[in-house]
Order: sequence, then structure tokens, then C-alpha cells
Amino acid sequence: MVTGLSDREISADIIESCRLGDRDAFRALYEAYKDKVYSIALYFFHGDEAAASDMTQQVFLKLIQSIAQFRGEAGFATWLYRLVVNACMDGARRAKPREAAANATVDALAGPGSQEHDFAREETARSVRAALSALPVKFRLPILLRYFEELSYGEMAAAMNCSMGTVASRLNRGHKMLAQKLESLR
Amino acid sequence: MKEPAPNNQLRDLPLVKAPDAIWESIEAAMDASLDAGPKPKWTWRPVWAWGIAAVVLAAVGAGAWLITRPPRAAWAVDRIDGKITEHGKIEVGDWLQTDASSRARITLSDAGAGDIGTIEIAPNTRVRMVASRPGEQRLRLARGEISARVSAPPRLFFVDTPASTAVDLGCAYTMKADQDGNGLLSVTLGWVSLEWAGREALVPAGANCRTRPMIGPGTPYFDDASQALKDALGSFDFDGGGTSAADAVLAEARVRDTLTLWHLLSRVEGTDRQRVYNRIVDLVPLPKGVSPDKALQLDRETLKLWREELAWKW
Amino acid sequence: MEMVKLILACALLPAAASAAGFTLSIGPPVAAGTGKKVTKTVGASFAVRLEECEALETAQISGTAEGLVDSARRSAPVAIVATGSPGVYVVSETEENPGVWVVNVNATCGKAKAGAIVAIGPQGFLRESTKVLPRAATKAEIDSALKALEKPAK
Repeated sequence: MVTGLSDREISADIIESCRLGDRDAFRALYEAYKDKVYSIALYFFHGDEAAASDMTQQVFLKLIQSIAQFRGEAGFATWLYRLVVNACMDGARRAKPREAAANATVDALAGPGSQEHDFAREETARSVRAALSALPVKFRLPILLRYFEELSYGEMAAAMNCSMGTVASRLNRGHKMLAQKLESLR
Repeated sequence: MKEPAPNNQLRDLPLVKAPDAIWESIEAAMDASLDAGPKPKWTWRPVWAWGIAAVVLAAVGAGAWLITRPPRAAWAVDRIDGKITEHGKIEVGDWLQTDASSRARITLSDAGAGDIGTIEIAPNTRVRMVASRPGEQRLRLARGEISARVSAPPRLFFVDTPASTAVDLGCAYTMKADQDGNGLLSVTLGWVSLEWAGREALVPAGANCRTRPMIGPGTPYFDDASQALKDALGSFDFDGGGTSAADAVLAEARVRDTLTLWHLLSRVEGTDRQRVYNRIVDLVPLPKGVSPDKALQLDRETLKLWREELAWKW
Repeated sequence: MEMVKLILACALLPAAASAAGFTLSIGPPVAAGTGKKVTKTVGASFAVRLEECEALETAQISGTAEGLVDSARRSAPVAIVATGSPGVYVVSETEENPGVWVVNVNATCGKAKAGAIVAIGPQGFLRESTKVLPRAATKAEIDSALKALEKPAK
């Protein structure tokens, strides 16, 4: 069994092994990125775990189908997150418009038995999720890519197929809108 | 353009572990994608061999994975009325859909436990078989309605919906999900745990629980609770009803509604929680072994003991 | 005479106290517990707990289903299964029957006795029609409970 890889250390050997049908190598790739891809999908799709699971599966299947075309001009993460961006945008186009839960009073998220000191943190996470969900897709996605994978502006531009200026603009506006939403939820 | 400092609150957004079932679905899909052309041999490479430039296979694109594996797990599917998209059986990754005039029945089976129950698929319903392995049988309800009757050991059968996962604990229940992902669980036998993002609702026979995307399960309530209690609870759970809605629930609660109040205890704080506690104790005296201070601090073991004692009154 | 009555009352008091202490609690199957014990509640009609029993190792419990089917009295076996929690059992009907039914539960704890007539509905036991007794139920009490179930609710 292949041991876990650090997030950014995908060697040419592993890519080559994947191309040659090495399922262990593909599993290693999957294990290195699955939680981040799933988390981005989950928050992007308003917490819908089933939609996030579908999208995650779709991304990795697409990855293995097209890995023969990966030439290494861009980093692997950039290439992977291009697949993530495409899958998220496709999913958003297919989904019905959804009224955001941003204005809902923050109920106690903690389940039975949670401790007092986790209560406030859970409430905050809930507010952030609701505020994120209320953002338009074009601002929500770059914020998630930046927060979970810490892609550079250049990598995000390549993944989103836009200019670095557009990335910067969307991040800037997205953060401001997020701050305003969170303020209104207090 | 200078990037603004990320909102500090983003730190509280947790990284969520991808469910194990996703890998199984990927593997199943890879197994199913067999190309008619030349198939590469399956290779198991030791770590040291990665560095060796020894090409023995030809990549053939999307259908390039072949492995000798046992047949995929399947559930039997019977048509009850009308036309359905799958006949005979459903395998991991398969969708089953009914139209306005069709119904179907899935027979659940588990390699370790044998036949473990049935699921009736109502009209206008779309479901998918997500996982089938010893100890985990998992279905996704995208929309529509299912009625499950399961006789398996607890925590073997799961139903994923847009807003919660229903965990079977030995029971019969109906689960609905609408186009927007809003759900309703109604339990008729035994009980079900509804779980989402660390939030849990334990729903016994005779009780219901609503779910909403991004919120998860609401607060369970018995069928025979007053309409006023149900309305106030809906307002509290999903419409920002706050303290006034919680107080309305308390005012309407009977002894049996301590199911609702027990769940409410950890969904409010401060003086609201004290009022919920007081109301529970008014209805059912605090049992031996349950410390008031620990209950108000939501001590896990104390709440569990209190719930188990209250259950004798439900 | 009054003194005799007082002496007799005092003599009977310890027996009465212990008999009064031992009783049964009836609840839904979920009351039998969660986690590992849950497997035993699958398909159960209700749970029973022996209360105030100092010698659980000597406790015994039994029961039968009693019914009225087309005005004829019938009896049927029930399954009573220990859950692993001390003094807690789940009771399941072994067959589905038409008509109205109660489960007659009898328990002993040393010399103390307790009983219950548990009314059964489509979704399990009916709390409001269930009676817990400080002794075994009589035939007349069971018949009366069945007749009450037969009458439609007003």
C-alpha cells in the first residue's frame, strides 16, 4: 500500500505510474487531495453531501481519464483544480437556484453532549457556511480555492481560466461580501 | 490589487473528511469502464520500482483499467407499478428512477448479514446505490420518497439525503426529499439517527424530524404533539424564531414532548437553556444520577443518561 | 379493637413496603437503551424495566399476549429478551394478529410481585391504556382491558 504523500509533492514518477495503470499510485493521488476536493465541493454546494460526493467522484474519474494528456507544463494541483472548477461550475449550472440560508438565526449546531467551549465555535462555522452559501458562484469558488488549497494567484488564474487581475478582483470583492454577510448575521 | 486579509472566521471552517464510499464508487466506475481494445495488464508496483523506467503496458485512455475482481455487489429490484429505469438488480453507482406512475421495491442484502430488509421507492423518486460492502449498505435519496423496513444490526444501512444521513438503528421509516433538498423523516418502528456535520437527532417510532440543507436535522417531535408545538418548532429550527419560538415550544410541551425538549437543550444557550431544563424537570423529575450542573453544561454522559431515563416516558 | 388493628398494620408494614417498592416501568423499545443493546430492540413492541428490585439475580419475568378476535378470547406467546442492561427487557409479539391485544406481564423479585397489562396498538404499546399493578393481573382485569380497547375512542 502506498503511503500518504504531502499535498504538493506529486512526483513525475507517480504521474507516470498512474498513466501505466498503477492503481496504488492513483490511490495515493486520491488520498492526497480527496479531503480538500470534497470540502470545496461541500461548501460550494451548500452542504449537500451527496452532491459533493458526486462531484468528487467525477473529478477523480475525469483525472484518470485524462491523465495521459497531463504534460506537466502547469503544476499538478493547478491541473487538478481546473477539473474541480469545471465540475463546480457545471454543477451550479445544473442546479436550481437556491435561496441562501444566510439570514437564518444561528441555532445551536452542537449535537447532544457538545461542550460549552465548542458551542461558540460551531455557531461561527455555521455563520460562515451560511454567508459563503449566499455568495455568488464566481466569488464563492475562488475563496474556497484560496482558503483550502492556498493556490497562488497564477495557479488560480490557470485553474479558473482567467487573468490574475480577475482572480484578485474576485477575491477582493468576495471577501468584502463575506464580511458584510457575517456582520449582518451577528 | 492587494488581497484583503482573509476573514478570521474562515479559520473555523473545518476541512471535511471525504466519505470512504467515494473511493468505492470510483473503483466500481473504473472497473465498469472496460475498453474493447487492448487492455493493459494490472500491475502492483513496489515503491522502489517507481524509479525504474520499465514500461510494460500501453495506456488506452478511459477504458484502460482491467482487474480480475469478484462480481459487483447488487441489490434486487422489483417493479411494483409502471416503468422503472433499472430491472432485476441495481449495482454500486447505478441510479434508479421512478416516474409519476411507477413504483419499485429494492431488497437489501449484506454479505455478512444476508437479506436485511426492503425499500419501497415511491413515484417521482430518484435514488442511487452508493455502497455495498459487509457492514455498510448505503443509498442516496436525491429526491422523492422511500419507505424502508430494515431488520439488520444497527448502523449497517444508511440513506444519504441533501441535508442529512439517516442511520438505521433497527426500524421502519419513511424519508422524503424535495427538489430543494428539504427533507422529512417519519419513523414507524424502532428508531433512526439523523446526522449531519456533527449534529444529530435521535428519532423514535411515532416521531418525525425535518431537515434543511446547510442546517441538517431539525428537532424531532412526536406525531401527536400539538400543532402549535410543531409550528413553533419549525419556526425555531428553520425560520429564525429564536427565544419566542422556543418559549412557545416549552409552553405546549407534554411529558411525551420531553423528546423534543431534550434535543432543544443543546440547541439553545444561557437563560434559554435554563428554561428548557426547568420545563423538562417540571414534566419529569430529574432522575437519580443526573447532575443539574452537568446537564446544563451539556456533559455528554449526563445527557445520554438523562435521555435514556426520559425515554421511558415517551 | 383499634389497638389490634394498629398492631396488625405494623406487622404487615414491611411486607407491604417491599411489595409496594417493586414495580415495573413500561416504555417504547428505545427506552431499552442505545448502542450495542439496540440490536435486541428490533421489532420489539415495548420495553420493561424492573424497578426497586434489590435482588435482580433472583428476578423472573414472563408474559403472554391476550386478545379478542371476533369476540373470541385468544392467547399467543410473546418473546421476552434481556437487553444486557440489568432488569431491562424488550417484549415482542411473535405473530401479527387481527383483533385487539394486550400483553400480560408478570414479574417477581424475591417474594415481591408486580404485573402489567400493556395495551398494544399498530405502532407499539399504548401508554394511556396500559396499567401497572403491584401483583399479577386477574383474568377479569385483562378482559376489561380488552373490552376497553374494542370500543372506538370518543
